[in-house]
Amino acid sequence: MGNQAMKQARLEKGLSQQGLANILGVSRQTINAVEKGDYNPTINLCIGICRVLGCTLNDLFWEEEKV
Amino acid sequence: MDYKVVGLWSIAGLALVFGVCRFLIWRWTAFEGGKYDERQVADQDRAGKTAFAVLLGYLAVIQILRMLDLQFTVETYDSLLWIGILLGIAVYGTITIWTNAYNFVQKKWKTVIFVLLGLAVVHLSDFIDLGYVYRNGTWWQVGTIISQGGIFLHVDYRIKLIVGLVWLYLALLVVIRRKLDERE
Repeated sequence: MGNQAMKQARLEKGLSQQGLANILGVSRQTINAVEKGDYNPTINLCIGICRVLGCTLNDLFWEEEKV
Repeated sequence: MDYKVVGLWSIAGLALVFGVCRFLIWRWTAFEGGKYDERQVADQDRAGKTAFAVLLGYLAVIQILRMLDLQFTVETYDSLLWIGILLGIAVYGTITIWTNAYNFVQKKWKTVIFVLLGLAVVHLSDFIDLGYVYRNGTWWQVGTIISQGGIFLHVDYRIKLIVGLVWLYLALLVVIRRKLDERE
């Protein structure tokens, strides 16, 4: 399923995965893994992503409970 | 066959393999200041734990087979231990390459492939040379410089084949990973 909200926010900011990775000081593959849902980032990385993309933690990382 | 001599050569071989692996990991880890992000650190740890678990499982299987009173010669048992080490290396390499856990492998992938292919050629050259001659119940390599004298003299020739194939496999994995990364 992945993190479509994060991908959408990144695209709206006009950032590539490499660009976002460079700002955050992580590898491009890490950003890709987070967007694909293959890796659960630590809270520090989550905060960093939100800060760069101008979103809240709820916007990008809250999962709606399935009914 | 003098088992003490075989044992000493095996220890020397183990020390050499360990030393080479540690050197490569030290140099590759130091690449770009040795900075890895949290995901890479986690994948490196996972690779190490998985390789260790695979090695332990393999050794347990060997011990069970010995308990079943199967006839192992010293050479065979030595070779079986080497296979366990190769399994660990293959598992660690697979996970770290596939998850891009080392920056050096990502960014200097041509160098990595060159080194792996070089190692493969060194080990497989015995099999692409003039072949083997079967005499007096033993396979003899014909005119191979690398295997004459040196620490590999007492290792089962099939181990060299497996080692060469492991290096080839890891080189192929780097290529596949690179191609997939270019598409992303």
